[in-house]
Amino acid sequence: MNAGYYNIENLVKFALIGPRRFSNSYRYSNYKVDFISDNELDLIIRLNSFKPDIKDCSILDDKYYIRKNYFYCKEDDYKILRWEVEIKNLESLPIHVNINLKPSLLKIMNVSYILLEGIIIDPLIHYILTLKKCALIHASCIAREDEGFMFIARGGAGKTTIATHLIGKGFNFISDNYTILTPEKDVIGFIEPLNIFTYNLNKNIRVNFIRKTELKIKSLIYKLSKEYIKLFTRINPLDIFTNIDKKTKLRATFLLLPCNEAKNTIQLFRISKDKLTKHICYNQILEFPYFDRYITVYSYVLPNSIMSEHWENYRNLLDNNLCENIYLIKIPQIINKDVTEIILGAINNDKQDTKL
Amino acid sequence: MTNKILNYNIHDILKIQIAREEHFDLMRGLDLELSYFRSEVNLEPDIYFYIGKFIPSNKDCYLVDHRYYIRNNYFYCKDSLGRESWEVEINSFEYGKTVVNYSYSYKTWNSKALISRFSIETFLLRPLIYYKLSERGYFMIHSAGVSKNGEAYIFPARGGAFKTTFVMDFIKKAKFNYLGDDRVILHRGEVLSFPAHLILFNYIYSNKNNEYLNLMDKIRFVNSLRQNNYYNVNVPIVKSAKLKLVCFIEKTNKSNVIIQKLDLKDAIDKLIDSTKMEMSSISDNIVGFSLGPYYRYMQAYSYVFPESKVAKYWDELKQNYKAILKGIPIYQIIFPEEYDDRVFQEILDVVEGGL
Repeated sequence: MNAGYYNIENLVKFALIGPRRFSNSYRYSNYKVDFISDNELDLIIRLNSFKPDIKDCSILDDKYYIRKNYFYCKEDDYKILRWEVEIKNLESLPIHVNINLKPSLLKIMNVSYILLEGIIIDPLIHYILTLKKCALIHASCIAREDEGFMFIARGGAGKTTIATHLIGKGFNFISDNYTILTPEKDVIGFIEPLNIFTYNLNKNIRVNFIRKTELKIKSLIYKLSKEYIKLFTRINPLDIFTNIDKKTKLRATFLLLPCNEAKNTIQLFRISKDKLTKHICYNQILEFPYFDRYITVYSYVLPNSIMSEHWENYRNLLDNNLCENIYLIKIPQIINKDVTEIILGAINNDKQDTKL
Repeated sequence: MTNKILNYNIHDILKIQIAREEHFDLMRGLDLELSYFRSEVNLEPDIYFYIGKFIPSNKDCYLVDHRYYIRNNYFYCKDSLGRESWEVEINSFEYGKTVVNYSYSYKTWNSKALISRFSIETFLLRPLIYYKLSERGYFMIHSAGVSKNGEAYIFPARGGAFKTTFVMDFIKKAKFNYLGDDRVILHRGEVLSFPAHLILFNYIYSNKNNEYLNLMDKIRFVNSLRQNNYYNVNVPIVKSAKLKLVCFIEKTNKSNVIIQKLDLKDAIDKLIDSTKMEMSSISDNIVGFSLGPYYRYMQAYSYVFPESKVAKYWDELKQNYKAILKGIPIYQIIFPEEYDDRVFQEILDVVEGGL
């Protein structure tokens, strides 16, 4: 058993304990530290076989075991990955998680850990951040002159592409996939290595020939498997971008909605904060479907718990801390120069508005 | 290939027509679930469900996750769950008469394929029925229900809480009538029956004392289906009764039975969570559990249209549950993993005594 310690901007401190490839996570590698003492940790995740402590639990669907502060799911699956998970101390930190992967083909490959990180660990980081009054948003973010611009979208819609285009125009990088919004209305990057799939490869991301070939092969596998096997290539933004800001004030938010409209017209309009908040909540729920299910199950047994109010608390945080400059932009499926130009125009106009 | 057309009429509230290409289908999936509502007359359907190859008209759509095609009142996607994959187009996703096109393709041919094929259809249609009923002021809930002297007693519960077994006990041991062993419909002060999988329930009711089927039982059940005795049912079903009492049932691994009163607010929250689980479950007597697709479709649609009826669905449902349950006594019975006569007696006492 190995232990890896991670500290995300002093907001979430966690430990991964298990096989080396699990504890030494690539996804969280930007936040790896040597050691964090037990009393400082917010989250401890063990990947190992374990004996669940299920006494005095309500049993739902013969699958979930719930009592106050405790959650156990006997078996869950995603594609061919199967796992059981036990979460202790759910409503008061530190949270203890035990995960056991059931035998499957994926288990012997690295990819099972990558999937687990997305299915269980990311949502728990999101949950702990919410407890600490910070909102994790599925968004990319760039900055210029201490002003942050956030791009909210579902996966593959163009968050990363637009951010990289604009970085090419002199903006600094903050984050590509997750952005943290603090009670001080600052945005902080939570930088996980980029998920490069061929559709978001552009000239601002420099990759060598071997990487390019690798991407093409993976894309071929995706097509041959009828879109079942989707292999990403991970590239750490910190290795690519030179101008990186850690933290900035949020200036404007863009919601990107890709559209397959034949005319391919790009439309940009302002929307209210209330509406954006709803968009973000659904984005986050879509991002964490298993976690959302676990919340629902736990709330069923304990309808007055902190957990049951999670999405409401999250919404309130967004409501309190998002700024008013909000645009919805209808974009084509494949991001072109026009999109970047229109966004850049909006950013510059926005600046003029305030000067006047 | 000719199309086989099946009509279902749910209490004259919701009419469903299913058209499918003829094929060998051992389990007759959808038919099995909704057999009680089968109608021999061709109806003007509120939900038209076509199963077969189709060409989607998914132009001018927003794209979510590279997968969901969404525009106002329209949804289309190619989707997969485990090893199964399908393609579905839902016209009038948000309001109006719904037309569903659905096609299924095998990724791998396996012995499970026959069963899972009907499952996916069922798990698309089932949440759609929830949604469409509530549009009309009728609210399906995951609950057992029995009645006596025109008064209904409902038992909301999650899966595995012996709903089927104790409903049988109510009928056999205490002469109650049947409203549903899995779902019932609430409407104002009334409970309407929803005998889902009635044939299966009828088989268990006629041959067994509990809901657990061993392999021989399953073989006998499938064999009995071949005789096509759809209307030959022994269960004493009533169409509707007046809502008298709500009693949540929760299975635990504690050793004793606990009976307690439940707040209106808590009861509503529980019902909402339960309905969410129902709409996102692949739960069935035959197939295992996993995350079902329809709830996700609703969320993808809500992501694009956060002010749509779909997005407001849960908030409105809460209000409606509240209006229905207000003034009705609500209890919760927590009982041990082992269901026996003692547990049934406790439930019966609550129902008969009103505590």
